Amino acid sequence: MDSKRHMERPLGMRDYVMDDMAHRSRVEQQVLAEFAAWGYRQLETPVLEYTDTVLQGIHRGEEDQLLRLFDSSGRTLALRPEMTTPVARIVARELTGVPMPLRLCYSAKTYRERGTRTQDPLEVTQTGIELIGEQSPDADAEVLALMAHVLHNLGVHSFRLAVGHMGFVQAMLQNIPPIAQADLRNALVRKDLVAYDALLAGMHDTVDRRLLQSLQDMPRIRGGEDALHRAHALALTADAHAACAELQDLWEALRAYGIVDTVHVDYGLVLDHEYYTGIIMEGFAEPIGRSICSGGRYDRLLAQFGRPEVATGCVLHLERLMTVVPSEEMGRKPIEIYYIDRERNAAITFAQRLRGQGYSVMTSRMRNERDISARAPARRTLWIADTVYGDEWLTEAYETGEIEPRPTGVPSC
Amino acid sequence: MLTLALAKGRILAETEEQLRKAGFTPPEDMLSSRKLVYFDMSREIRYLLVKPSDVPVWVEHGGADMGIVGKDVLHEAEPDLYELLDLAYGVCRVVVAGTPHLDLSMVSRVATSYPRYATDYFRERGRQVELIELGGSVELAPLIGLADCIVDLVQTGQTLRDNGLVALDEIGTVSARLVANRRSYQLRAPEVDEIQTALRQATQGGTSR
Repeated sequence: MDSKRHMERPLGMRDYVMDDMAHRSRVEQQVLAEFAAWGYRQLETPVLEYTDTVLQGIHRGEEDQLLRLFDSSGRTLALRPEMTTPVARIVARELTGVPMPLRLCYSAKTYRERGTRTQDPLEVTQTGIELIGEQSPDADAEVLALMAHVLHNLGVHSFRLAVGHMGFVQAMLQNIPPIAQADLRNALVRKDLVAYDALLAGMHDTVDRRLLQSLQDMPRIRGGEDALHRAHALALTADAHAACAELQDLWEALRAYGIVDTVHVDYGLVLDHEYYTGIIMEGFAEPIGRSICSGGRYDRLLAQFGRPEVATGCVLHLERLMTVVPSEEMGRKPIEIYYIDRERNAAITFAQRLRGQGYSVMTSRMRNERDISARAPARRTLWIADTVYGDEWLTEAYETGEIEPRPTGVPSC
Repeated sequence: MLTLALAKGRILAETEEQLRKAGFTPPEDMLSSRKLVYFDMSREIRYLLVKPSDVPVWVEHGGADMGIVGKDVLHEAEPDLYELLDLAYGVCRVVVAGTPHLDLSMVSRVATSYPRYATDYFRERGRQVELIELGGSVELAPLIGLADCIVDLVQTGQTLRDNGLVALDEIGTVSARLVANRRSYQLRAPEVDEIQTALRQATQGGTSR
């Protein structure tokens, strides 16, 4: 019998306490404040959704990752695996009276079963934005720019946003037979360029050589403005040219935001094609090897909820973001006040006054002065006696970082 | 400084040879010393020598920017990383093997170090088989009656022959692959591309195997 189970937390979950929690909180609050500054309004949704709802926004292959339960009437509920679908549900049903465009944001825990990837957490906090009802590349640029600003302002040293275009990939694959299209796309999603090349090589009898060469070059094009030009040269259809034009437009908007140095286009970037319909993005930062944010345009989702609207957005993985943001020294350290019974009023009054001035203060009653002096050397303490200490003393103590051992008038122990 | 994780064991000697061909200068003692970290003399590259099954772990998590490891390892681990290049050496076949007259359609127990290859092979033939996962000396399983057959990697076929087994069907071939971490692919694009190009040229230039 495993008698210690109650003392552990479930696998795939983490606790956040003390400095870790302070760091988490600071990062989260800063991100949300930045979102608010750009006009995004925060929302919250239930952790549990009907499975039917959740299935609107996830890929068939991801269904196995859902954590499900039954409600009292036997309907299946799932812990939300992501937030974009619940947001779509709300936009379509609760916010029908609100005019477009809508800017919404959230910071919410999401859940996915891990399968074979047992090192991944089960619970991930998604801190993200959705910009609904705006078609132009300026909307996509805004999403990218906001991410870049968030990362920059958090002090993330070195990061890059990779940008792709699902429409471009679709257009390039257009003239390939459907099954082969799916195979090529899957290879790109898996980032298996060897399989991708092998598939293309296998088509040399059935597909035009120029198209095959373009497709082979396509995922290798990444970089700044020069990449945009190289892709333009590859585009073979009207749709592909249109996608290139959109990216060019995006690039000009990014230049206006001053962030082109942090972005590069990657024509091999492919995310779930049933969901993403246009410009897509993924962000990376030193020192971790996994992505810290991802998103893109998903113009078909809201229609599934009865309110056809275009939409784009991006989500940060808060836990990973925490590891790339440098931790900050705590500003004001808390003050601890120890007192014995007869000094209680003075101690409490003083503590309240300090709290009113913005200090973080803890009070503890001790049995006698000997107990207080036993604590004093190790901590910042103030002796409270007949005199209540004024602000000059406090400021000085703070600035010099010294502990005042004993004020005048208090007997030594 | 780019970090490259190299798979120890079977393919290390050919890896070292290919790196030289591509214009890199791995240290002389890389194959003989028991050190695990090496620096390239001419470029800003650090080599880590790790167990083959660990290469995808190092690369996926970004501890290594790139890696060289067999496709068999990648196929089983299904890591989230870029597979950039088939280096065309370290070529082996993945086979189903057993005693010479074994009827594969009657097999119910398969011993293997490659559960994914094994499961997929039999599933494609409409069979669900019981898997016994072994780390090594897999050829013993049918000899001792632990399993009906095995799914294993074969180079010359000598080990199979020496143990009285034959390859009954071939699942595929594997070779050494160049892989890259997703962050490094984006954030260190020039270095990643430089290594990729150099190794591609070496691979295309002189494979007479």
